[in-house]
Amino acid sequence: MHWNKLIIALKAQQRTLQIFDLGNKSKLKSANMNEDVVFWKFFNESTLGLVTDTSVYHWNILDPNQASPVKVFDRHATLAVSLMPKHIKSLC
Amino acid sequence: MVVVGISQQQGRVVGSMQLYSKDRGISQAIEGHAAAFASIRLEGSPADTKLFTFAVRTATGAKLHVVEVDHQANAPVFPKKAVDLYFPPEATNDFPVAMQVSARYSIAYVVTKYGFIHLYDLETGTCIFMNRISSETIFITAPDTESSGIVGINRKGQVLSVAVDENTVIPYLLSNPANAELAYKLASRAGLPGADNLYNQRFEQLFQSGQYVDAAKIAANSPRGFLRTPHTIDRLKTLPQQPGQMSVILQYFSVLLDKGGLNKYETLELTRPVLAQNRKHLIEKWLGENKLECSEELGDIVRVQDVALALQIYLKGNAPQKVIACFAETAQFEKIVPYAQQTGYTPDYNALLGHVVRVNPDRGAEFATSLVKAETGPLIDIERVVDIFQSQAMYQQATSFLLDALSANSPDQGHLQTRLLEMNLMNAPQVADAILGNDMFSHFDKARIAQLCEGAGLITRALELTEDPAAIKRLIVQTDKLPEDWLNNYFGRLSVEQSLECLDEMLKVNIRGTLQTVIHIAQKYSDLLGPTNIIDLLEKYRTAEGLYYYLGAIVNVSEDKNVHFKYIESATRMGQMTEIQRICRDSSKLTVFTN
Repeated sequence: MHWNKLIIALKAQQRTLQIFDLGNKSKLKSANMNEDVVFWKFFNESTLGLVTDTSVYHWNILDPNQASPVKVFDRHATLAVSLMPKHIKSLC
Repeated sequence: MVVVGISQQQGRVVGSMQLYSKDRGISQAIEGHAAAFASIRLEGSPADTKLFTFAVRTATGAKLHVVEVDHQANAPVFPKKAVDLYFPPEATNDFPVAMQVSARYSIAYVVTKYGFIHLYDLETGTCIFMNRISSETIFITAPDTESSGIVGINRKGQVLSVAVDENTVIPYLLSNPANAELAYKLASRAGLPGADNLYNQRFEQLFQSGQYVDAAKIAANSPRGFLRTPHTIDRLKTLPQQPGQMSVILQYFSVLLDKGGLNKYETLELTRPVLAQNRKHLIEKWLGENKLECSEELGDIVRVQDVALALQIYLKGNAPQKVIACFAETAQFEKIVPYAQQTGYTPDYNALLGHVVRVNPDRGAEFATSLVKAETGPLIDIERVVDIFQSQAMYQQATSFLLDALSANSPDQGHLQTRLLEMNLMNAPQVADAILGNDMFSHFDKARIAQLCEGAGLITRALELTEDPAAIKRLIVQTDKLPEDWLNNYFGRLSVEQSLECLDEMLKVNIRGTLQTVIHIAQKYSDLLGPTNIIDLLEKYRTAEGLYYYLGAIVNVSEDKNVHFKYIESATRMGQMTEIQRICRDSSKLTVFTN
């Protein structure tokens, strides 16, 4: 759920992502990931943070130019595959 | 940004974090269980300091760390903090699970697996409070902006909310002398009650001992600005200026400007000396940074130097009356109506128009028209507009305004049509003549206008309008001023009786001047008026010439014996022998002659 808008993000089979605006009953975006999304969370009013087994992505769901999540960085070795991510936060 | 994960390693839960700087594209792996970002404003700094804080329980101990990230060049350096995180001896497997920061208090809330909550002051790393709030694990938390606290849900499904009690936190901290400084700062940062006395005491103390600049800083940082009063300003203002230094009052304002913005009173006190030194650009700069509170009074001060800037201030300070006055003064008339509609303010349009008309007559008419034609209906009474123009003897503007405003020729504006014509008949008859000639209006007071037309020498217009028989008679005799064609047509509108009366009047008043005209009219309307009537009229004035010429035009087609007879009679009087011969020869009506 978005923090304060009627927007909901759905995930199917860990890879298929869809963003819906329930206010005007429309689909904002959808994307297919190459890896399973193990953790995701809104970290500000426009952006979802997504963690896969190997990488971290940002997805600005309000920016029409960002059709699919953008990779930000690779996951560090210490945060390796077996680890279950719990939090993702951003300064801005 | 930071990603946190946990894993089971050697019988304990290890927290791993990856801190990534988007600007620099660098990752850093740190051991930690919970983390958060924060932004605080250090005392005396013009910029915010960005902090990263995290809580960790390692194999050997537990700590809360606060470090600066993205250092701003103009802010003081924030020294790293690392303080012990307390875990009760029996809670060997406990570890931090969540962390949220309250921006208002700059306090970090740390929640542990076993349901303990710890509150830390970020700037100093001081532990303010800890307690157990849940016997069940709190598995998710979120910051609560409304209470500047934290909310969480535990495994039982209970929703827990923890926040600082703003009325008691300062006295609580002050009860421990070690936390006095913290209480003092927190009160200022979050505007909390409980330390006001302390601020007051320190301020007075510093002031008495002559440390004015420090005292000024205390006042500037006082909680909720309770020391930022006109009284303080007055005290600081009177202090002597140290050579080579900014005056204390200006230092005071500069601390306030760094801290945020000035209130209304402070803004006024700062603006006056700044403008007096001709440094308007500073005011513009601060306004651009939203550091000054805009008020009507501020606008008034600035207006003397710069109307455009004052307008900007009035707009922000919501002083609609002044805004509109500035629009008017800077000839931005077209902005007035939209602004008034947008703000719901109704200016005195009469006074305003009066002003506009005086400074810019041509735009005045335009402005008046825009007022009358406003989408939401007329904003000003047309009559008042005309009053204003007339009071300035601006007949031309009044006329163009009225022509526009009355273009619908509506019956309920009849009195205004009258007024328009009246005004022009008295000041510019040729304009009135043109307006009447255009047949635009049909609801004015015809009798009144006819009278004025007569006065203005517009005889034809007067005749066209008047219904008064006496007036018609008085006017119709001025044949020298009436074009022949027009007069011919005019008689077409009169009744038989009226026509004969008019012709009679014309002959009575000036037979020499009007005879020819009368004959032409008689010829034209002969059938209508009846030859007998016309003959009687002409005979009344004993004008054989008139009869001769009138009858000459109709005799050839007339079946009336009397016409033939009278024609011969008048021809005889005129000595027109050839004509008599011709008619005697041709006329078939002459057999009945007996005498």
